[in-house]
Amino acid sequence: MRPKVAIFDLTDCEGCEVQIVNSKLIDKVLEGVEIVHFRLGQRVNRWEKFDVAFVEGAAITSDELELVKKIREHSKLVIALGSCACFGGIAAINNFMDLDEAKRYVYGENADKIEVLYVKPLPEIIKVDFMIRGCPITPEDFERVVSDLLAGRIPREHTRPVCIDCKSKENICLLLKGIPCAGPVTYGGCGAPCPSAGMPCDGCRGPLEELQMSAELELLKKIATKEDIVRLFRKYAPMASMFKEVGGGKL
Amino acid sequence: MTLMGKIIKKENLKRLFDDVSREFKVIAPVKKGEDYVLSEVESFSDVVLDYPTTILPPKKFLLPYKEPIFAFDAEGFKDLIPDEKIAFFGLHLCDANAIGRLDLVFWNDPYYRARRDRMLIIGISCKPTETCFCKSMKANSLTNACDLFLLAKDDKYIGFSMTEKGRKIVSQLYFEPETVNVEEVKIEYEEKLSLNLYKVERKILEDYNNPVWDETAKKCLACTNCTVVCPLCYCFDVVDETFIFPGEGLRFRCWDSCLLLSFARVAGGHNFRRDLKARYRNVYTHKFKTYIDEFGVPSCVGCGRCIIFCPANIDMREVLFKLGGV
Repeated sequence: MRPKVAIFDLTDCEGCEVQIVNSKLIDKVLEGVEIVHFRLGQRVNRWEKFDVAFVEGAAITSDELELVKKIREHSKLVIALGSCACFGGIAAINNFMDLDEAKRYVYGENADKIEVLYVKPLPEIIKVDFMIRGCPITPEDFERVVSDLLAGRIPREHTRPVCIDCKSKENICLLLKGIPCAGPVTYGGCGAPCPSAGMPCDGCRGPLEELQMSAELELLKKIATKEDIVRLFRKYAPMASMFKEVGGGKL
Repeated sequence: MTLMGKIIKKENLKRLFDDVSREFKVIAPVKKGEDYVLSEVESFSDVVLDYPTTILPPKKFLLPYKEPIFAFDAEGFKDLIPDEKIAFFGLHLCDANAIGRLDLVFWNDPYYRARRDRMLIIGISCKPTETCFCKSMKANSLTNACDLFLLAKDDKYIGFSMTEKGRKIVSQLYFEPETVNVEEVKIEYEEKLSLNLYKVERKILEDYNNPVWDETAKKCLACTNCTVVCPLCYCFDVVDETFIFPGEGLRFRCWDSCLLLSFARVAGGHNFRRDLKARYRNVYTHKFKTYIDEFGVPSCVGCGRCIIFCPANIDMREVLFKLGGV
């Protein structure tokens, strides 16, 4: 019997789910697993016991918090899909503001009718078995995790920084050009698309297991304002341990 | 030993290039933005022979970033031995000698060896820059890592063949018939910071707890830029990848770095070099102590890339200098 898979989303852009559909191996994936719940991808969905549930997005309402708990109860494995689920993502910018003020700014006089909570990344709400990092994830990362699970292996983390991907593409280091970049402290495996296009890494894959944040900050302070540095780490993985501190202004 | 050279006029380099490109995939320095990279070239007009250094060294063709080494399925496995014929056209002596030093480690590696056996290396004169320290690393002399070396002389080049492959080339008619004899071919220049390799080697173990390791590790980002651009850093990881169905897949060898926490971690979670300080020092003990013990030369050719490309401005020469390597 094929493993039963569910793909859910919370508050997000659905970009990571689109990346799943973008996978060149999607036909093989559909042959290998039975997708029983995938709101974005199919019309007929059902709740039952899932072998694996992928969850994209951040929980920012009490309904979403309940949904997350329900998913956990129904699933043998829960995998956080993308930066929002793993680290709060863009939506977690709220966490650094006064929530009422932020609501009034966005919704004006309707603010009181809208429920918004401070964002908790998935691992702070339920037990998460594995994370697929990135904003968005790459189809290859999804394929790798599915392949590993079908082979009965624990999915491997790519343990190297963005810089190893970046330099393998023979880019000149942006830090050497005076552009603040989070590459040295961020999980790689993305293939460094941002620095390869001249844009700095914004740390979307989250902080490395062991990162040299004080050395990184010492460098950044020479080329960027405190505001810029705070913004850099607040962007995509703001609730991740070391990024949270810097994003919160502690530097 | 006397070296016998034969003159080739600048305008004849194109004929040499065309000749080589008939048989080989030619890799030569080309311009990329403000910088230079080694890349496959089809036309001699794209080749830049006067360049300071390339971003990545030639190892990217010998030990690629992510290389499939065998395919497997339920029946067994199939070795994926490369069969490409590569010719480097215009390597500096440091880079050519780095290949010579990689040979010491990888000669019995079937994937490396397959490329190496089919390979042609044509070296060319360079103009040392202030980050160069090949003299200190004893990598400034012509060795048989080059099949052929083109020494710039006025408006001509003198071609020195070091192997049978090289001798075949210099017998071609675009080389002038008369020979030039020299004792040796060496790049001579004033190094910005000259190091005594013998003292460095000795001090590295004596200075195991020198504060320089703490100071430098504090600045180090562990970003791996230095090891990636190093022509001799070859730390790798091996990963198996299946493609959705577990019945078949590929095993890859891909670049890794001993500066990373995961590199020295073993089954059960123990890590032999838990602190960055220990990992940082390991780069040096390997390059300037254990490699010399094993092979008689350092695992460094003084190309200066680690100095140029370090975002934290760490200068390997200064670290060695502080260990008393004057």
